[in-house]
Amino acid sequence: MTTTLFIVSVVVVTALFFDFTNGFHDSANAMATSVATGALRPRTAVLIAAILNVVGAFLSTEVAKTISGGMVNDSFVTPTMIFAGLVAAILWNLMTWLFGLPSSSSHALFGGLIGAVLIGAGLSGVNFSVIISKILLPAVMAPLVAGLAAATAVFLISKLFKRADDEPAAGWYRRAQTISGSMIALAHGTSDGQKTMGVITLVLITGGYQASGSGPQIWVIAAAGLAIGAGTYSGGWRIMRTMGKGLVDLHPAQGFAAETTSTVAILASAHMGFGLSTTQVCSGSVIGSGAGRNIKKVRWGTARKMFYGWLLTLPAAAVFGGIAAAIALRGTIGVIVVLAALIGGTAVIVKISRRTAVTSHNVTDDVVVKVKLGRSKDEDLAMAGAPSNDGIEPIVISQTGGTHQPTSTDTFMKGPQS
Amino acid sequence: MTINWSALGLVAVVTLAGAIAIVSLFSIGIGALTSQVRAKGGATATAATAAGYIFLAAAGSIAVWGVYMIIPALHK
Repeated sequence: MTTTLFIVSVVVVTALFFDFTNGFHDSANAMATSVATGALRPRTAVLIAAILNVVGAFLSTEVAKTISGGMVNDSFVTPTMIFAGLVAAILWNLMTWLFGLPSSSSHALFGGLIGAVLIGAGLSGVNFSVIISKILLPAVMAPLVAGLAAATAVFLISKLFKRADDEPAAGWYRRAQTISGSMIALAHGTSDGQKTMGVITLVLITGGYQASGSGPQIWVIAAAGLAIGAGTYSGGWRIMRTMGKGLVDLHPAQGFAAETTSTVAILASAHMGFGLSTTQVCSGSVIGSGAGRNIKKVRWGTARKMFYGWLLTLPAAAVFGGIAAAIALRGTIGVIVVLAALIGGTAVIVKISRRTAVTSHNVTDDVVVKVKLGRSKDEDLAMAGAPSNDGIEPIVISQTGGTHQPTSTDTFMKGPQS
Repeated sequence: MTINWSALGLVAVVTLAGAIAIVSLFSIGIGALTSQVRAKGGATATAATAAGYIFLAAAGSIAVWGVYMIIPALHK
């Protein structure tokens, strides 16, 4: 195997893995509110979103022509830098998922690339003014625009249509949510699916495996579509809990208003040249739909954490990308080391997530996403005192006569071996 | 640094107007369809039902236009 073929293969596989994380990160954008209001059952919701993402990926011909949208000088970018950027973006996506924070996958990818290009090509490779106008300003504007629109819509409903929360009106709103949520999923497939196709195609062209200026090959379209669809179907339940339950307690009318606002904002920004992040628009709509009804009932603490997450995404991914590039650019061994770090990091994050698993069964049971990093006794006790979703725990407590030690609970919490 | 303020303003206005329009049309529609007057029967009930479906159709047609806008092959 030649070095070029090796790096190209590695980038293609990593890009598809990124696409998968993009899918489960953004599953919540389309479906969190529908799941939260009971409009759709969790599994049904993600299945619809997954199918529409795959369909969207095939429908659009608007393949991303640049990797970074002008944030870095694309002529400086090598496949190894793209690889480093993708690794950084995946790890950041997984970390924000662990904490249940909705954050933009595109910003993570841009951040990773910026870091990699800074290390690989220096300051001249990065366009800082584009970063401010395309990342920072939209990150502030998206929730304001979507939030204001959703708040106004919800305010009007609550003042003019008193029966909105009662049946049968609530049932109508739930049915309408199925449509509005599906439109977000379809729009997502036509935009985000294309980004991975663009990355893979550009790498194939750079490696000399495809003619310059040609479009994505059919296997690239199929693989990228399926990767984002599989990711969407896997649900990203931690993020879905934060968006659907963590920010606001949603009624069907609010859910419908939030999803409708998101769809309009996404379409307007896509067609009028001011790109807003889907994640930030959808989060803003949810907060707005809560604020339009009762501004005090919005969990502003969660909203603030989420906003910090947005601002951190680009610099954090850039640091990861820089480190990954510094190692990967040392040659084939470096690439293998970074690949191993990606696999190891993914395994660790997934393992930590399992300690406080959020699944399709318990996604709407709580408003916070717990993360258990260490194993302090206090946390174990808190866990033992928390309402259990599996219905088995009370039996265990009675077996140990109510005087069980935290360690026995801890063993039980870990599952099968107990 | 170039920030396209007019595009940003346009996005904000369209989002506000679009969201309010769709949500209002839909809400008026189901307001009519779930109204108490329908229980009494007669001409008022028929009018309420007809008005309800007309408003729902209006909201729905905006949604159909949205799908048209999402799929590039349809409008390019």
